[in-house]
Amino acid sequence: MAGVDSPTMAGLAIAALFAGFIDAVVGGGGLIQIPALFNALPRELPATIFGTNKFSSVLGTSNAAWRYARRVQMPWRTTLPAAVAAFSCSYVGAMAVVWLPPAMLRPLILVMLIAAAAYTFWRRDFGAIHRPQHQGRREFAYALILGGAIGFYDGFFGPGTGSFLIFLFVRFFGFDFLHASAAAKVVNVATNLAALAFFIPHGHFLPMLALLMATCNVLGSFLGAHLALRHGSGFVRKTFFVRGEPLYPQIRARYLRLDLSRGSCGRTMPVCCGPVCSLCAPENRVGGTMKIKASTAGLVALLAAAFAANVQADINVGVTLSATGPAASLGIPEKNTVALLPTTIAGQKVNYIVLDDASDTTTAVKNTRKLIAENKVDVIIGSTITPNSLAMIDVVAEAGTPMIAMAASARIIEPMDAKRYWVFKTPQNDAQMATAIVEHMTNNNVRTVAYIGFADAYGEGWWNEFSKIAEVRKIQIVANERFNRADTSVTGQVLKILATKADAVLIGGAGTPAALPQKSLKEKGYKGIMYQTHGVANADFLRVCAKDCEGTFLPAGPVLVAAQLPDANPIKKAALEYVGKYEAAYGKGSVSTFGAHAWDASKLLANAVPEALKKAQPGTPEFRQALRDGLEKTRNLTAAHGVFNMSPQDHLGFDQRARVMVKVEGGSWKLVQ
Amino acid sequence: MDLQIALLLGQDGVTNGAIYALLALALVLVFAVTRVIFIPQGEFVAFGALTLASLQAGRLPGTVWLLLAMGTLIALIEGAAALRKRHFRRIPLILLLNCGAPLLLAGALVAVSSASLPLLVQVFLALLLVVPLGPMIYRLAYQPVAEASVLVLLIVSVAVHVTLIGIGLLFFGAEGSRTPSFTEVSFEVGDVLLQGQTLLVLVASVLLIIALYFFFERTIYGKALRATAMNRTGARLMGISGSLAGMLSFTLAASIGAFSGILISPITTIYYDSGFLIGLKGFVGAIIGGLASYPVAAAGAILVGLLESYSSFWASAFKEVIVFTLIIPVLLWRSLTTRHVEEE
Amino acid sequence: MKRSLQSTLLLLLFIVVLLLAPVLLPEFYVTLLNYIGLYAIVALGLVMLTGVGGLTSFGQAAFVGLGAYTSAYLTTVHGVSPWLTLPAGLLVTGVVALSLGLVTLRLSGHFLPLGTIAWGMSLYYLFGNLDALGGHTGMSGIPPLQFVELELKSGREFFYLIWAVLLVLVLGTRNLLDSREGRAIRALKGGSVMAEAMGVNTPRSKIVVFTLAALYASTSGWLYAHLQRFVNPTPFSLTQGIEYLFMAVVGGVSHVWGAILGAGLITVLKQWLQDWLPRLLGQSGNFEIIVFGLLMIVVLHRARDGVWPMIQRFFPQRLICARVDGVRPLTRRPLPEAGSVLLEVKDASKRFGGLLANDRVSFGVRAGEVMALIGPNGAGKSTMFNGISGVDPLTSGSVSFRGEPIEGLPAREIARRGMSRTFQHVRLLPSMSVIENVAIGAHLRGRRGFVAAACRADRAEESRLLHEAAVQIERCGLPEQMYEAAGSLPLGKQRIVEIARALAADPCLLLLDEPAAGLRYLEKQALADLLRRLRAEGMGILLVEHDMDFVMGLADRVLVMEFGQKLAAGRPEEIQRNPAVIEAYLGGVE
Repeated sequence: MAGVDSPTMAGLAIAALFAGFIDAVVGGGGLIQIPALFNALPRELPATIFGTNKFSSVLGTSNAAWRYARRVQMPWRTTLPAAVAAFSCSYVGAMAVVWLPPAMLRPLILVMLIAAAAYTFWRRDFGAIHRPQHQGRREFAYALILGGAIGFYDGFFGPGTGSFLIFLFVRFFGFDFLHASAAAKVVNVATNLAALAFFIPHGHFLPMLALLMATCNVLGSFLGAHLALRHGSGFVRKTFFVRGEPLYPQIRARYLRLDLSRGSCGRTMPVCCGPVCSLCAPENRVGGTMKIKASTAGLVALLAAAFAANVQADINVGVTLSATGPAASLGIPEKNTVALLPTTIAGQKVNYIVLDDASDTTTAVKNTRKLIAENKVDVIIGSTITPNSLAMIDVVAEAGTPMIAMAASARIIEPMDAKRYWVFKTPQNDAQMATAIVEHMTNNNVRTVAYIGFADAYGEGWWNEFSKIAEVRKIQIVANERFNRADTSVTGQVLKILATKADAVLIGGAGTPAALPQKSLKEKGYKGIMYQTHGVANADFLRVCAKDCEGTFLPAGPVLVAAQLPDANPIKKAALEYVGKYEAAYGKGSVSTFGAHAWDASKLLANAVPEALKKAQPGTPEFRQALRDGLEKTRNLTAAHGVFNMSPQDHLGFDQRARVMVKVEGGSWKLVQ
Repeated sequence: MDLQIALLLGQDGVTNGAIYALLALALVLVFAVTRVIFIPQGEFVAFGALTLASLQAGRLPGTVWLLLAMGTLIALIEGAAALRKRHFRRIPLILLLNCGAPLLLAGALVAVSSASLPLLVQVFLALLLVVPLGPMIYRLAYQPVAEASVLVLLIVSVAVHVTLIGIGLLFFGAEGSRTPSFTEVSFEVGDVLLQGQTLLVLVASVLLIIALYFFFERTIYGKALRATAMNRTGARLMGISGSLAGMLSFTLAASIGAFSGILISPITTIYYDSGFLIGLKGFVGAIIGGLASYPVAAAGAILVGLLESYSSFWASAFKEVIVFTLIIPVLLWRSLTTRHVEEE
Repeated sequence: MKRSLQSTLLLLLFIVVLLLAPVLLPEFYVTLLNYIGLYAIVALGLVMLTGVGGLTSFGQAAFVGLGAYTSAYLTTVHGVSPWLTLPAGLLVTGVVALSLGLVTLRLSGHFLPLGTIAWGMSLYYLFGNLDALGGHTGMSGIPPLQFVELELKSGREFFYLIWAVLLVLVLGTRNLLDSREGRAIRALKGGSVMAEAMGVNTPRSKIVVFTLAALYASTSGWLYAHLQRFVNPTPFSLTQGIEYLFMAVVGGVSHVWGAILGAGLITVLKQWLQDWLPRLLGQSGNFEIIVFGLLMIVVLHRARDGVWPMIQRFFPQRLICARVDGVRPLTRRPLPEAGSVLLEVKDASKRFGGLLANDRVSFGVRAGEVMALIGPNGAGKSTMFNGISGVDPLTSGSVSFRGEPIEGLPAREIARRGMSRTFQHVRLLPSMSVIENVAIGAHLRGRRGFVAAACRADRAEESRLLHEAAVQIERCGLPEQMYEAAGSLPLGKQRIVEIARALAADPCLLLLDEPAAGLRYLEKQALADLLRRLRAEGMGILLVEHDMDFVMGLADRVLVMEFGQKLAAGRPEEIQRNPAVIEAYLGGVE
């Protein structure tokens, strides 16, 4: 109950009142209540919102059902089996809500809400004579199947159930409206009870709010049922179909800014907000489709408001990363990490605007321009891959916005010039990692080595650095092969490598695709030492490569083996902090070193922002300049991947501590001492 | 390059080529029957393999959700149509077929821990999850524009492909998966070690091709498809419904795709976006067959596989350049030898 | 004309909006518009190539890459001025496109799109593997464009350049399509047979339109390189090539403005999805492409010809190809003397595999006579027509036309010599107006080429061509239908349009394949009158027809064919009495 303030309560109470009224008359009150709840309580779990919603509507529905039952001869023969089937299926539906991941549920709710609203407005005129038919065995089956289906729907979601039921009884059993409404109420009570029977014991409801809303809902339904009974079937039909004068004066819920004008905007779903309200004003008697559009738009807008992030904040951080496309396996952990970053730095609120560049340079540049021009960001983090980061340099330099790249190539920050003045990066340079491998090779008497890498910027970057350093150290490179990320076979390349009888093989790939050459080599009987790059450092690689990767060496950021670092190493604590946070959010073993680059970028920011804040206000060129200067002055900052010591010439600032050699042993990463 | 290497490369090329051949057959079939150039064919390969991998990992595959969502959508569309025509009797059947069956499958998957099932059952389940997507996609994306031009159908294919790639990433993540081999057997032929699984791919492909041959030659549905492929209007006049033929060809295409994916996932890693390139190469094979001849399409696909294998040995960085450049003269030759009758 | 004034005003309004846009719009929208402009240039090429010419290409992105890389390489490595790299890029692209075109445009049917995929992939991987081009990582430090002192660094400055280029290209393309060569390109889509028979050099037209589209793409690439100042292979991949096609089709692939609309729709939609979906769903990244794909499917379901035709309804239709009067008529070819031999066919045979469709048939046609070719269905009459007109050459035998051997010549060469024909299955371009269809017939009577058409230097000749077309339409009795879409006419009238088109070529020998089929009695009489007049002018007419009354009342001589062989020949009354003909052809009815 904490966190629900009184204006919110008032708004929800009014929504519940109105929903109760609608529910009693035609059903579909949930179409008002659910968006209202989602809007007012953005942080609650969907299940909690549904639970609260159900609780508040069950009393209203029962009240209506009771009033109907007293006045209308209830057709129990059909209603009862439907109610029983609906009850059991509804319970299952409620279970499904809890069991589904919320990330999946939200889009689903949006879609279903729109669909239910569209349905509510699409219905056409249908019969008014009570002519009960279908009383045989088949109708019994219909009652079971359809009642069950609607029951599941109500347990799972809810809005529109009332009208679906009315429709069911009219269509399949030949009831007139009054009887159909009455029967529908009874079944609806059953479904609501079933859902509550699941939600309440599992703690998925807010008792105080639910009680308040229930009271209002009952009040509304009392009004509705009263009017329906007094004016008979005709009134119900009118509420259903007539687009004429609004029967009720406009009620404006201040908090929700809902324009509750019935009649013109629609029959039961007068939910609209913001600019959409003008579409729904009573004087605009728009046609049927227009109404659907208007109300759907209203719903979308409402939902948009409901799901929108808080927009008032001070420091804006733009993030562009490759969450889709070929580099997705690198970009996704980064995106996940951004979600964990602190939302305040030095008491200032921080906003992260995350954009996906689909591993495409044009999009990365477009995103950068957008972040600078539209979002007025103070700093840009990204992108995931080298070409994208290189392409962004011109844009950020022009705008005077500092940028922290999460791509590996040294070309991003070297040679230092007027443009790279604004550019920093957090991942270790390829050269640094390559040196580690070459050192390890020399120590293990490797004389000849074969290289096989991605046919993209990653494989190319590694080849350039590695071949340079290997040459200096007198290691002979006997093969230079390429393969594509999505290749199904690397037999040709592997055979060529085998023919060279190289002492060792270095595979320059990232993520699971790097496992393919290794598995092929093993399969063809290769016995030499195998090296991978830090690009493979995630759990999926071990999963796919399995036993074929035993004994493989790779250089990596210390975060990969944080727990194995000696306690004296200051990086251990910083790295473990990140690992802990990440795994708490995304599950055990989900951490990858790439996400830590984003984490380190935020560490750099947290270090530089307080000083910059003293000099200027966020959102100003002065602040960006101060932030840049602050970043350049980073000294002895311990982060997950190493210790930063920046200088005007070195915008990375990592030393030897930023990399360790790791060996795959027993299906996990082992630090090589 | 000695003989052994040449043989190994040949074997590799033929194995990959066999998969391309299967896809090529599916593409030829779909095109002949519906005039759709089915770019998303490759996605079935990825979905098939990744669904199986999820099942083996004991996770609920994302394809279940796709199946449920598409089933519900179809039920809504069909249901609305039935309501409009006042065919109320059909509604329960529509519901049962499009929502009930997927729900049942989903329920079964939730109830049973899929990781512990025998491999063949898992394969069967994976096929059960992926294959219905074929006709569903046809129903939702293609049937409403079945009469449009080949270009429009092609662009619809592109849109479907884009959507499926996005869904694949959402369901299966960016990282790839492998499935365990069906067989651990390996043979030594001369100096060459032959993996049982590779052989299995070949044998299964050949068997599938033969099965398809019998399907087309001996069964009424196969004949209906062939009739539709030859003359759409004529077939319709003979009572063969165009949409039924479309559904059927998409079902076959989806089965072939998913099956191919399941076949190769033990010998390579499959990613959510692997399908496109595999499909593209099958497509090249199909075009070499003029999108009309099944045996030539299969031969073309094997040719692509071999080209790929040998060029990856000689100049791996330029593999795609070589494969796709060499395809052009082949295309030219095919184009000149195929009598192209202008459409009236 | 009022309509053209209106459309000029609309164009001016559009230009004013464009001029103001960068001043009024926020920075990022100008950036978006820049990208839209770049994409639209490529899509415009595709409109011409795919929508109008009927040639599907997936490889345009590779041409964009050629333009971009040429400029990037020359400016960064050799320090060449960016303005000089534009012609250099165009030259490189032109050469590559020509050579690719010479090979791949020979591909027919579905081989062509695949061919474009093939070289699109090849070029992409080539960019990525050439160290001189920066490999997969790319080339940075490309200098900005410079106007004297002004460096085009910001998006707002670049905006004017991009949109000026785009506007010039749009207008040029529109002019081009509304011309003699433009009609030839449009004729490609209906199949090359008819175009060739009207004298269009279809391989040349294909190559030209293909190269033009590639040059558009290259221009876009040059602009891209200097806007982005960084190039790497990803923006030139096959995926992007597909996306260009996507834009063109969604916008409306047969309309020049559809290119801009399509590029705009897709770009803006993607942007909005990226902005709004995360707010709706609470997470970003994965859902955009799904929703994007779904939306595209819906758009294609609702508007399979693209979105532009839906918008077009709100604009006044500019009447293109209107008849122009008061011009000097086209010069006519001197007709041969009446009675001289026009066509001499000797031992003509045509074999389809095992089937002998024509078996050593010989006959001749003289100037100023109507020769009718009759025979039951499958007798080989249309095959004979195709053999004579070069559409489907004979297997053996000789054909001479006005004393010259013509067997083995391509159809367009035969057409050039003064033979024109109609088709049994009507081959009109249904969406084009009647007058435009007829004007295709006059293709060989004009000279002006692509460049002249694009800058509107062909108007004098164009009005003479259209005048001629109008005259022929009136002569054939269809003046009311002149501006209607050819496809909207009843089949009988479409046949008359075919005759008008054949006449527009100013032939001395006219080959008519079943011209009276589908005509009503009065229309048949009018047609017979027309043919008599043509005969009186000294034209030779070879006619295939099933309507015996029509044939017997009109023909001077009749040739009867059966099973590919000549059965009988002679004057109509002789034929009517010939027992073999009565037996075989008339089936003894009399």
